[in-house]
Amino acid sequence: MEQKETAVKRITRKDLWKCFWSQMFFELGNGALKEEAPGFVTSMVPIIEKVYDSKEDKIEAYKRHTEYYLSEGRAAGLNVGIAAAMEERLALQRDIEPESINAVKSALMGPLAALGDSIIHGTFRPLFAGIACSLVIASGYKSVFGPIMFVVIMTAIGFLVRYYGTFLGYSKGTEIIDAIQNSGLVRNMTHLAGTAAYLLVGGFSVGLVTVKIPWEFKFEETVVSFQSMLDGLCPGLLSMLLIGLMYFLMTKKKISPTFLLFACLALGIIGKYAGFLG
Amino acid sequence: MNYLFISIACGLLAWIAQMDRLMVHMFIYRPIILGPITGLILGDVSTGLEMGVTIEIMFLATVFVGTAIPCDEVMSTIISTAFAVAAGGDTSIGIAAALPLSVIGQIIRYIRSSTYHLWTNMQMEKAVARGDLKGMYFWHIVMPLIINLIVFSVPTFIAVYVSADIVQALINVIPEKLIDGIGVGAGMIGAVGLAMLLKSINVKDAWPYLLIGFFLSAFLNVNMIGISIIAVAIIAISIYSNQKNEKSKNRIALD
Repeated sequence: MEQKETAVKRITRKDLWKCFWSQMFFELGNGALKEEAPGFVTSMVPIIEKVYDSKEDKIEAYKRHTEYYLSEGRAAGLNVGIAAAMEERLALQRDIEPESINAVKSALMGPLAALGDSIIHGTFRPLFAGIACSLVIASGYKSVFGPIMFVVIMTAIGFLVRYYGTFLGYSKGTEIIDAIQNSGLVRNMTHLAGTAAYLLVGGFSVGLVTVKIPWEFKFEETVVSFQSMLDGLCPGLLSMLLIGLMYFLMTKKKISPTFLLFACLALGIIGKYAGFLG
Repeated sequence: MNYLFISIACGLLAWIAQMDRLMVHMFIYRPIILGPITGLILGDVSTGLEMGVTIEIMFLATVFVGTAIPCDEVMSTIISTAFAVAAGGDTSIGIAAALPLSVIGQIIRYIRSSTYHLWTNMQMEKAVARGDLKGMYFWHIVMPLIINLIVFSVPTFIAVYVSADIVQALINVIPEKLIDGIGVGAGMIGAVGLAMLLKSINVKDAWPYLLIGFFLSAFLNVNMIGISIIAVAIIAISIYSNQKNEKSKNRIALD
């Protein structure tokens, strides 16, 4: 009799799918005090409703997840999956401490945030956005193929991270925790993504940054433009130098990017009036 | 279509984009997407694309790290695209306005996370203590959606609705050469975005790849998809060589 009841209360793939869709509201309603904790609670609803019987147990479990939580919304799927596995074990076997659920969450939210922020938001998003931009520029601001590709790829990445996080987090929780905390997985992945990003930024430099010097020289009868001379030597040289200058000012001189954005606009206006940019 | 309805659609777009950032996260809140959508609503997709690209490059590397809220690109893109369309497709006024406008959304988001979302959170925790599922969903999903609809849509709607007048006033005041100069500056803004991206990635030994990418696009005119293919190849090569290194290390350890 008891065996049968346990089987009924086990989490199925269907429950994990419900849990997956609940995570669509993960970051909605996050406030400065508890950040994503309310999202964590609603994500756990399908799991907690399934594994606990009495109302007191359910309330106890929900309260547990109202503790402060802040991570990257998609990478957090792994944490939700692991928490689901732990809640199930606590409800059915009662052989883990309830506090350990929050301990695992607090231990993982930092590394997961670092992974999600640096790979999804720090690398993939700017890279695919940059590719979309250069496709739009190449089409003469006519084609919307680039933006559509951007949305499709980024949505797919987000959904895959969340799907594998939730499902693998549930089935192989502890192995994944070990992999994240012990090996250099986080460092390796960010390093590889960073390498690819450098290659692509080098590629963006010519298309996304335009600096032109309108000087012209007269040699007897022919007019030689300074810019075409420069392009003959090394196309896109000024763009690359400007990126280098901005990088230097940001890292070595600690000047804020917002200031530099305004400085660029100001330089453009001054350059136009003084005739050295155009 | 009546311009009132167009403005309302732009206001709703601001809400949808902000909620996408908090919900499904399909990245439609990025300027590269919002620009063309706003352009479509206003009947000028090409200007929308141009604004979207320029503002996207400005905010290319703003990463939401921890709790610090970066400049907000959503309202900035929608309103400044409306400015550009109102100026008859001349993007320079829109671009000049984009940066100051991005502060509005940032302020609203700060207010959101420190006032009314705190209130909805507290109400939600009360619902949790009662074990009230409907209450939890109401205070976590329904209520924030309603409040954010008002807070993000109304300012955007007003700004888009009066954009034609604002732009006309600006064109009357600002000399043409200044507007051209802003256009020149906007071309250089990309350098800040890309430098920010390099700074945030911060992989010290990757600088040779920067030169390779530059060489491929500047001298060989390889487009971005071509460069992405090479990037994938380089990642694959380094994964394989890492695996080989580890295997040979293990072999040495065994010997």
